[in-house]
Amino acid sequence: MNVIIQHMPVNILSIWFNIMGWGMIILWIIIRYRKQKEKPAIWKAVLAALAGIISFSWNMMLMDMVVRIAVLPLGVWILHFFLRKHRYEIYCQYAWIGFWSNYIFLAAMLLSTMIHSVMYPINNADTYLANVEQAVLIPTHPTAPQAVLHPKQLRSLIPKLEQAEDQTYTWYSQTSTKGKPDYQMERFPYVVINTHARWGSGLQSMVYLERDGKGLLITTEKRQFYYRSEEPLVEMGGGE
Amino acid sequence: MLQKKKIALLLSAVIILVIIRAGYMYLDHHPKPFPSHEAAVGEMGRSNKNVIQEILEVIHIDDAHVVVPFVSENNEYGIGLWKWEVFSWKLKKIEQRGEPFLWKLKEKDPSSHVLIWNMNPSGQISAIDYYLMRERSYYGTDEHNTYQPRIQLKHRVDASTKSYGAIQLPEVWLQLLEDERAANRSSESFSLFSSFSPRSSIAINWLPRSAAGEFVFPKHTVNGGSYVLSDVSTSPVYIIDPHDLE
Repeated sequence: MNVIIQHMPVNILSIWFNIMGWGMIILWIIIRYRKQKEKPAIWKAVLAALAGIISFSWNMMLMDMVVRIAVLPLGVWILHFFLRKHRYEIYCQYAWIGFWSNYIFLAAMLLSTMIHSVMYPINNADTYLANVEQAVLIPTHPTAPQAVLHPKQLRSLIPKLEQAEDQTYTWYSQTSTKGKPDYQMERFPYVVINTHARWGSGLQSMVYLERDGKGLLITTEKRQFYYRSEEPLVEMGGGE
Repeated sequence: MLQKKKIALLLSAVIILVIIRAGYMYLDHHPKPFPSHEAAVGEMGRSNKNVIQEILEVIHIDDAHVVVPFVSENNEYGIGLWKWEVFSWKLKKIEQRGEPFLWKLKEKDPSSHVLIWNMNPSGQISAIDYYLMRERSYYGTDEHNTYQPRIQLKHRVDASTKSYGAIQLPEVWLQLLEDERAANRSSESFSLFSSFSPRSSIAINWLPRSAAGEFVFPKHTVNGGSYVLSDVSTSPVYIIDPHDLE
């Protein structure tokens, strides 16, 4: 059980801030409800708030992700259209809470992302390779030299990994162009499976090992990081 | 009094529903034996519009899924897919040709995908090499560059003694597919926000080999159609040229 929890790729910051967001909205509704003289049924107030979330929004890129900025309060307008004037006045404030909750969640998301980048620095190999106890090396190309991975050896070398400049285009062209010495020789002919990122980061990656055993290429959905080590990370030419 | 009657009625209705549901679950999970060869030949022949001459084997994938490679009277090597569904064995699909394909029992779960083939033995194919492949690619944006290494993993299946088969994907392939799926799912922050990535995806290919290890074009295996009898998820496995290998 413990093992399962440890390895679940959940982003605890994201979950925590989401819960905080909902908590704030609920609190806001309760405070409004108490102050109101002519009280509607509480479930109807909640429904009005939920309807208020509906909005026409504008998507933009911010901090490497797409965020939604609510612009037009469609939910509020819908209530305005369907309710008689008196009843609308009772419910409209809840609908507005719903509309502003879009911004509460937006703030929660930005905050959690900022804290995430401090707690789990993404250009640090240790973030992605926090646990390599069960790591297994899989040769994924016929040109992969014989190699054996020892988790302890890999573990001890991870702190010494240095981020290096990737040469993505060179790697590609050298192995894909006829006549080049490395033609059809894959530069990263292994995948290291069963590695786990730091707990609570929610990060998942694909880890490739370089042909000389000294380079790691870590790929996530958004980015790629390249690390080099002085010593080989695996035992080259081992096994048979 | 009336209240009690109502409650009793409601309770008994619920109990009856639960019993029906449990019975259904039990029958659904305890399939009857697969039909006899004669019965299966008859049903597949009717759907195939060609008389089935012989069933080569009845391959049980699990309790509820059966693969039946067959030979028809005009010497086609085909495959029937059967599933235990609503209390009977149903023929889901007939493939008139035995070129390899994937039957996805559960669409999203690669460990449920079954590789199936039925080669014409006169085709001189003595082994089939299955490949898990992904093209090498390179792409960049203003900020980040990405290099995607090539993947080329081989799994050889002997076809000299038995020219048909149905297998699950090798364990190593499944682990790679799982890792690749996980790494491509954004979970860096709120996962509501999708992002576009132009990466090429992993494919499964096949290459027929002769006894001498050379590529043989499976001319007896690539012609023919298929009949889909009800919803079933399959996907083709494409043949590759040896020149496309590294």
